[in-house]
Amino acid sequence: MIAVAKRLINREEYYKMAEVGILKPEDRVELINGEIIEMSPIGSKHAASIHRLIRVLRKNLADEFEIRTQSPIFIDGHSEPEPDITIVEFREDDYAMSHPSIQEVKLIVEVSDSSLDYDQTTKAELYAHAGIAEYWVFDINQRVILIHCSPSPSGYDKINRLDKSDAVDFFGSSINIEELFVL
Amino acid sequence: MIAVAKRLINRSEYYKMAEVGILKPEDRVELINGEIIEMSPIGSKHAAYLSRITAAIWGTILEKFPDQFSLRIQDPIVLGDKSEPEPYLVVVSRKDDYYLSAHPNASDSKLVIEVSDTTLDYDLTSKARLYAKAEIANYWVIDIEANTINQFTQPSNSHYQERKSLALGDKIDFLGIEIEVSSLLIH
Repeated sequence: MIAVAKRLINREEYYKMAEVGILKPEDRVELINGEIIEMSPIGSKHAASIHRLIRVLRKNLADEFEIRTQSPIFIDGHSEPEPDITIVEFREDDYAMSHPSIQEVKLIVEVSDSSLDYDQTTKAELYAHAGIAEYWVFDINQRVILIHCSPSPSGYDKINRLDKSDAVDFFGSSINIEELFVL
Repeated sequence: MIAVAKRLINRSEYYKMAEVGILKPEDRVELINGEIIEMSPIGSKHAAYLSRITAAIWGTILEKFPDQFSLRIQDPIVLGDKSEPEPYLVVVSRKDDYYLSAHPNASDSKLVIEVSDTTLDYDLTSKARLYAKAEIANYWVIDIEANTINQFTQPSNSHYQERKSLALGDKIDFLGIEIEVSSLLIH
């Protein structure tokens, strides 16, 4: 039985909706596979986790890369997510002219609380399909990081689960997972 | 595990999307629970059933109650802030302005009829919930494949308490009028 088809929204329409005031600045949303998804409000643990990640990762990041937080990346005509952390190639204009595209994105980190399921399924598929080389799901409740590598059209072929006793390789540096978790 | 929340669209945002050209006249869509759903194109089968059912309803319900009801075909009804479906047929209370000023709402809609083939599942579940929640007293789903009618009545708690499946040879009732099921189907 064919299910009903949702009328998907493309990027142009998404931007138009913001332009005409259907989507307001205070609407925390992202466009995923043609659907407008509400991002959950950020609790203090989530915010602190992002902050800590940025502080630790930045120390280990070469000048040719930049860290962005909760900023859009352009995937295709139907998806413009706003990952918690994106490592991108440095660009002179800091992407003022246009959001980073998938070629410029080196690593994505999503900090997961209530969205864990979605981050491990829909988001993982989206990022793998886009060819994002590495994708971390930072599970703040279980205090583990799920490192997704080897993107293929059907998803990430390798998923490693690391906990506080492990270290993760980050652009040539080794970072102890313990350092990354708050509380 | 809490799933992610979709950003739902309300009626005024839906109309605005049409106004600014995001939704075009050729987009066959309806608004169901805050989501914009594509309606399947009308095949000859659907068109034929529509024609048949219109004639049957006209000859029975509207014949018996000419001053009380009128018929809407593939036109919107408004069910709250987030739903504006376009059922195949709706028997509505007759209004002098024929709903010129506003589409019929739930209490104006006395009988909603959907004609289904590929959307049967959706019409029997999601749409049934939608119409039951709006307390539409009578909802019929015409199953083109099986050539049967699913009759839903007694809406309560977003659920139709009574459901009957009727076939050729049966009669289906609406406000005391008995209609031959065979007059509503093509066989």
